[in-house]
Amino acid sequence: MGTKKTANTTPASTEAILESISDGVFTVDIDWNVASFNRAAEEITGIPRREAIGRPCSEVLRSNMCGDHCPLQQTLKSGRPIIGKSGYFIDADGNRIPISISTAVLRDEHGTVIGGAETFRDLSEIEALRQELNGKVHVGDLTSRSPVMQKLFAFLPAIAASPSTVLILGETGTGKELVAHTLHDLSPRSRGPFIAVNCGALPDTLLESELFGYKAGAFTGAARDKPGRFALAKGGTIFLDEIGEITPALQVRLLRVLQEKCYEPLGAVRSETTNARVIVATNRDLTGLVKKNLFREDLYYRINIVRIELPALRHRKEDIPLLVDRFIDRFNRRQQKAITGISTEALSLLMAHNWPGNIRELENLVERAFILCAEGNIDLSHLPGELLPHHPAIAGESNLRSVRTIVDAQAIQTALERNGFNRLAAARELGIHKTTLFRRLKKLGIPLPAKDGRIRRTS
Amino acid sequence: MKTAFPYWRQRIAPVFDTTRQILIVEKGEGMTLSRTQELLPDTHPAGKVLRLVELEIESLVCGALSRQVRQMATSCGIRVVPFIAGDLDEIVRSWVAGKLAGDAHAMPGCRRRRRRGSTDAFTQLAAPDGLNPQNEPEDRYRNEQHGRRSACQAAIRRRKI
Repeated sequence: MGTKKTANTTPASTEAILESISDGVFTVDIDWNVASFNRAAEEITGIPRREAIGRPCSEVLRSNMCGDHCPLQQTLKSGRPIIGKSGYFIDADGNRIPISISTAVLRDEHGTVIGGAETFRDLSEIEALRQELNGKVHVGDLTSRSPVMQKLFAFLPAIAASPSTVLILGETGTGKELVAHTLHDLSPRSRGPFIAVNCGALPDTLLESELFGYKAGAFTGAARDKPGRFALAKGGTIFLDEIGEITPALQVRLLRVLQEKCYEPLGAVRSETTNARVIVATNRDLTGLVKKNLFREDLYYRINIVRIELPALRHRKEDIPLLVDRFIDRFNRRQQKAITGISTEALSLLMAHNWPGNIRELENLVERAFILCAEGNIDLSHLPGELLPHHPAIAGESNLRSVRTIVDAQAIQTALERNGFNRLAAARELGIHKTTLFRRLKKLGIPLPAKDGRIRRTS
Repeated sequence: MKTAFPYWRQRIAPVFDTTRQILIVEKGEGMTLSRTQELLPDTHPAGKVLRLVELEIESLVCGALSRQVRQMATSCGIRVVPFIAGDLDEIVRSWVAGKLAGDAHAMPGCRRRRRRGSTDAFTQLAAPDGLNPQNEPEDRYRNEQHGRRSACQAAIRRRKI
C-alpha cells in the first residue's frame, strides 16, 4: 500500500515534500548536471537555485568526495545506494563544512537510469555539540584536555570580565604570559593595549622610569617627557611578569598604584591616574618570600585577589600529543614545511620525559625536530640526545625496543626515588616482583645508592 | 609567467584540496609559450602547495579551496585565483588573453553581488576576492609577501638535501 501511495505521488506534492525537509537534496541528469535543488540545499550551500541548476554537480557541491571518489558515481555504477558517507564541502568563504551524503539512482517508469539523487546533511551543529561534550580544548591560544586546565577554562571568561587584579603562578614555561594575553583578549578591554613588562629584566631605577615614566628635566638626559608603561596601558591591560623580583622600594610604589590607581612619574609634581587592569605573574613562592620579609605582605594580599595556578607539564602529560600537534601545525605554517606528525616511538619518549622547562621546552624540542626532519613524521632520530640516555642495554636495539627500555628505566627510577630507594616498595608500586625489579635494574644498568631505603631497627 | 590549472575530466577541478592533476601554462605577451602536465602528491594540501612552489608556479587558477590552503599558497608568493569553473581549454585561453574575469567563469554562489540601493556596478564581491579581473592590480598579498617565495624554495632545497 505504501508503495502504491508513493507511486501515486504527483510531482507537485513531491516538490512540496522536498521543499519542507531540512536535508539538502539535489538530482542530476545523466550528464551530471544539476536538475533540481531544494530549499535546504540552497541554505546549506549558500548557492541560489537559479545558479545551481544546469551546472555540473561537482562544481555546485565542491565536496572532498567530488572527483574519482564520487559516491553518486559509485551508486550509478553499482546500483546500490550509499548512506551517510561523511566528508566536507567548501563554501564561498573557503570554510570546510562537515556533511554526510546519501545517494540513490533515479529510474524512469521503464527502469532506465535517468540520473541520480543526492541528499546531504549539515553536520556543523553536531560537530560543535560533539566538541562541547568532549570539553573545550581551546580557549584563545590555550590548548588542553587536562581536567585542571578544563576547570580553569570554565572560569577564565568570568575572570576576564572582572576588573580585579590577577596573580598567575606557575613554573617557568607553563604559559603565564599566554594566560595573561588570553584574559586580555576575552575581556571588555580587548580593544585596548596589552603591555607586558618583565620586572626581573631591569634594574630597579630603570624599571621605575619604565613603569611610571618621567618628565623632561627629571634627570640628566631626560630631554622630553616619556610616558610609562602604566600610561601606555590606558584602557587596556598591564602584565607584570616576575613580580617576585622587584625590590621593597618599588613594591611600595606599586602598592600605591594598585590601591589608589594613581602614581607620579619621575620628576612630576602632579599624580597621574591609571585605569589599566593589572595582571601579575611569578614562578617564585610568594608566601615564602613574605615570610622572609623579601616581599611586602600588604602587596601580596593586594595582588592575591584572583589567583590562577598553572600546572607543570609533567602534571598534565595528557596534553603532550595535543600540544605537539599544535606546534607542528604552527611550524608547518611558519616554515612552509609539510611535517605530517610524530611517530609513536618518539611520542612515547616525550610522554616519559619529566619536562623541567615545561611547554617552552616542548616547543623548542619540536622546533629543533623541524630543523632535522625534512618531511614525514618526526622520529626518534630528530629528538635531542638528552631524551635518549645511552644505556648499555639500548645500544643496537630497534627503535621501538629502545623506547620501551628508556620508558622502563625512567619508570623504575621515578618509583625508586618516590619510595626513598626502598626496592620492595618501588616494586610494589610498579606491580612487579622484587626479583623482577632487581633483574631489570641489572639489565638496564641503573645504579643504586648505598642506602637501600629500608627502615633499620636499632636494638 | 607560469600558471597552474588543476583539472579533472578536462574541466577545472572542483576542489583544489583533493586534486592531483595540473596543467602548467607558461604565457608571455598574450600567447602560450608552453603547456605541461604534472601530478601533485596525494597528501595533505600543504604538500600540494609545496610542489607548486617547487615547480616555480606564480599563479594558481583553481576551483574551490579551503581558506588555510589559500593562505599558505599566498604566503609562498603564489597569486591565487580561486572559485573558477569551466572547460579547461576555454579557461586557459581566457587566462592567456587576459580575459578571465567576471561572472562567466565563477563557480555557482561565487558571483559578484550588487550592493542593495547602490547605483554603482559590482561594489562588493560575494567572497572570492581572487576573482578580480586580470587587469586589476595583483593580489595584495603578493606585494606584502615579497621575498617569501625564496624562503619557500629554500625550504624545499633543504628538504631535498
